[in-house]
Amino acid sequence: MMKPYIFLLVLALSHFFCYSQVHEKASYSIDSIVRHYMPINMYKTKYKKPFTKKDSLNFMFKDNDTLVLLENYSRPKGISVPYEYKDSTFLHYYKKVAFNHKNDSISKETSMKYWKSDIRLFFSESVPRKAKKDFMDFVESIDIEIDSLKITEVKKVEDSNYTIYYFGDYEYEPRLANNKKSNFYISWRHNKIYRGSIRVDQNTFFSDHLIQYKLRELFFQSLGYFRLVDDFSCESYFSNCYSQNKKISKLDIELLKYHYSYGICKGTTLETFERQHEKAKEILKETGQTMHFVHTTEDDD
Amino acid sequence: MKYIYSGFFIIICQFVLGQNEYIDIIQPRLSFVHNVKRASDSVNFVVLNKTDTLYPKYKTDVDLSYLNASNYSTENIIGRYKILAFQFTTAKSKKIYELKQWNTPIIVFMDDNLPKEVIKKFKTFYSQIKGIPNLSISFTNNLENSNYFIKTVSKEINGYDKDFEFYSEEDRLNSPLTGGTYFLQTDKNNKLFAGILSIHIQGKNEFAILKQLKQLFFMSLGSFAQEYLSENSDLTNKYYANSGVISTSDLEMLKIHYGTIYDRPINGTIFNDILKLSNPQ
Repeated sequence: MMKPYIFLLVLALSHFFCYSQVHEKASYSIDSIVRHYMPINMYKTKYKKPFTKKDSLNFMFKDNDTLVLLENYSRPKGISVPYEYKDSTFLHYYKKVAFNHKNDSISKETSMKYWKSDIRLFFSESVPRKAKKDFMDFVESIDIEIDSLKITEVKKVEDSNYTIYYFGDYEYEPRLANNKKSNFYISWRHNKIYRGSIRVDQNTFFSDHLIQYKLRELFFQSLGYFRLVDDFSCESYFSNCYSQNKKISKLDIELLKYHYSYGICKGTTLETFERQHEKAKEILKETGQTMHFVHTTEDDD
Repeated sequence: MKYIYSGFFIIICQFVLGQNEYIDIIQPRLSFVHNVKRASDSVNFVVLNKTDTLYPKYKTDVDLSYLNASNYSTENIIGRYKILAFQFTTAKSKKIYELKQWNTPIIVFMDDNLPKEVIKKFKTFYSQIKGIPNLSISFTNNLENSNYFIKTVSKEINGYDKDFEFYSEEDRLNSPLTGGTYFLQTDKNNKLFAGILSIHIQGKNEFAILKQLKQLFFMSLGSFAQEYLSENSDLTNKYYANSGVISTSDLEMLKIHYGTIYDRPINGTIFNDILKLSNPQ
């Protein structure tokens, strides 16, 4: 008779139901016993209940950390995606654009924002057909590149979650109504963006190409509440300066792809993001194994 | 720890050796490309995946001869330029004026309500600006193709704040900002990319309209200030004589202003640093 093998899995759970774990290389045989452990601090945060005697007896110590055995643990439903490795320069720029800190003050608590559901665009009647078409060409170039981000146009405002309109139109987003400049407004819950609006002043942006420039700039920014930075040349959509030759650069698209990649945990704070990367790189270096991110399918809204 | 020491070493070197290169003063913006062109590009590259790497590309050599006063008609040309662009301010001033540049060709559309003769003379006047690097001015008859709209307005407008105090009523009436103004679209890098010049033409003759348009437009080429110190043939002079020819001094202002398109916002202090670099003692 085969001896039962015991697998110890240490779970590192983030706040946003994006679970990470060491990749389970082999499939378990019928004789395998799998025990799931969680670091004590995470356990306290997640379960908020006192330890029982049984819990204490099952404590395990590993790498100067106390691990708590999880009883009847079943992995949540979701997709397991391997950690997507990126080099430090890429991550340096990614953190600059994705974590849009308040008042330019870097905070570990700042979270990245992303669209979880499809973006359904509604244009007000004032937006000319040509402007709409040119804009949708731009949108499609993003939609094609980013698998997990779908952007479509809808004809009825009630079917939309993103409105695009001009000054003087019906105020689809009241919080933009008193804004004297063209701007966008997005709403999020648990760092998931669920609604957006762009309001453009067609008096100051008086020609097609100026309107197009503004629409694209604001829309691109609203895809992740991105911070536009001064590192990149003005042609980049992540740069904070104008160029008549603005185009989505190779790096722009890679940053955007990464933002919407399942190979990272989404909606995290900067602190969690850095910690997870550190852990994933450490595991990769020490064991040669790739950490997996499990994206749960349950909606936590 | 070794990084901290390296950082200190760099800072100390900068103090001891000073700023020797343009990029020490103005950190360049990067575009990332596939080709490696310089050995230095092997630093700061971005690995996208196992087979794809992007390398930074940026301008390293900037010809600063446009800042050398000996290339111009008068020695105090830089002094006048500093007034126009920075209004005597530096990084330490209470209110800081920063340099503003167009980084796209200016394509002007002029309102049909302007007198035809004014439009014609205005275009002729500004057609004299040629051969200035990084500055292009042209005209179009289609608003859709433009990024600069010169329009007439029926209501009286002023380009100065309500609490602005002129030296005299004559001064106020003579100001191009009385009955006219301009509004420029700017980005976070002080680059200009669209403009609207509004003028109230009721009660003004063609001479006055043309003079005001010429002055306002010139000011909008760099959000330039007005001053008393120059000649009255210069467009920023408060007593501009409405000359038919653009002055040498004005052309030289534009040569200095558009000598290079700066990658960063420039205040008076940074400009002085660049100036020192162009004229080492």
